[in-house]
Amino acid sequence: MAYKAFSRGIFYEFQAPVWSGLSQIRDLQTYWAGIIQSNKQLFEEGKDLARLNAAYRIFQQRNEALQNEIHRLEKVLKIPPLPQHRIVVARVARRELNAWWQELTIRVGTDKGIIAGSAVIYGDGVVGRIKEVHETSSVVELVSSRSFRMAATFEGDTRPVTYQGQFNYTLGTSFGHVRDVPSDLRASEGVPLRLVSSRLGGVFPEGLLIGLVSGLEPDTNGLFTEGNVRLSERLLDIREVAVLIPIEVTVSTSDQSEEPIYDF
Amino acid sequence: MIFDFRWIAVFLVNCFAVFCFQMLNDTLAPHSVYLILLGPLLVIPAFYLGAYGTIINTTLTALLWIAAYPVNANVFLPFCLIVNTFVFLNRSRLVRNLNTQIITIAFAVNLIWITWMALTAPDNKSPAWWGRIVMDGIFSQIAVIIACIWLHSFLQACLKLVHLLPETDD
Repeated sequence: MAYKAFSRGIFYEFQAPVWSGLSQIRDLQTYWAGIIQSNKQLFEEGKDLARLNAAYRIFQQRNEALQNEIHRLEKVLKIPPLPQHRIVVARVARRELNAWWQELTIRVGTDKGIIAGSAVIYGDGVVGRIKEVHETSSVVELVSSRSFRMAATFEGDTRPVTYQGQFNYTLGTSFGHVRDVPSDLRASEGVPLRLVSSRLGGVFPEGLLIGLVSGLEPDTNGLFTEGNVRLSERLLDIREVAVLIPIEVTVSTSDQSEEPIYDF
Repeated sequence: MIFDFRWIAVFLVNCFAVFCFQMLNDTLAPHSVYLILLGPLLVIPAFYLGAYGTIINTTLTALLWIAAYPVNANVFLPFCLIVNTFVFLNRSRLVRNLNTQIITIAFAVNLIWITWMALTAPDNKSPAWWGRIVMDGIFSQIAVIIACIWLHSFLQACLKLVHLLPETDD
């Protein structure tokens, strides 16, 4: 079996620079497309970004205050601290989305300290989990992949449910499946339930959006309900993700840089 | 000849084609369409290489494919070698410059591989999942026809460029 892994490793590393190169060419294309925009348009976009930055600064201050409050309560109540993560932002080099597997290749690997099994997120919530790590690239198993499972909860409810990815319809969006849902929960097209990540799996932080559930039906044993989870449309067009690398709680977090690492 | 330059040239063309197909799938990803274009990569080189060259080229192409996709190597490599041997042994009955014959074989090979992958996929095959497989299969088979014509012309052009066509030895 070792020769298989060896040959796979060699051929993978042979291809990885090409994927990375193509991704960088795409970034350059976006850069040149941006550079030919008029000054007026750039000025308008700069103004929008300045507004967003101001809003984010306020959120950051609130976040810091809440973090301090959490640390204080952890000390006072002597409860174990919440899992800490280091964030590595990475560009997507390649997307493979089919009925058999749903994977992304990102442009960071062992060179940036990526660990297999780490959580991968983006602006709309959960992206997936790191499946393989190579020298300068990693493979992410998407949340819509059939082999992807995780513990989840519904927003505002603490009872755990099981989420499993499915696939994406041709010319449609991705979806997953949720089961072991308590039968007192109701979901409809008008009032969908938000399925969020749970800390129970030990990989994802709590409260990250997975998708929306707009219908639940009793399962085969009649004790629980199950239903399909509609994932974000942006998942198919994703170009940038953040990898959450767990930091050992025994290590003092003060000397661990909380600054995200960007892959540009 | 094992150290024939021709198989290296053909393998480089195959590498380029694999990267092009990967780029195509990356571009089509937001539309939830996926193309499996294996047939042309296995069939066309068998018309241009000797016995050793075709085995080496097919093995390397298969390893390249296995590294990029989570396919079962124990099935994929023998499948590629069987297809290659079949085409190699029957190529005297086929006209190399006739695209229809190449397309027909590549079409059949591609269809067999897609069917095999669909039948051996893990459980939980819902009707919707089969629908996706059928749609991808239809798109792939249409794309195989175009890919065959393109790859065949491209391979011929590349071999002419490096003065390996028409063949002088083999």
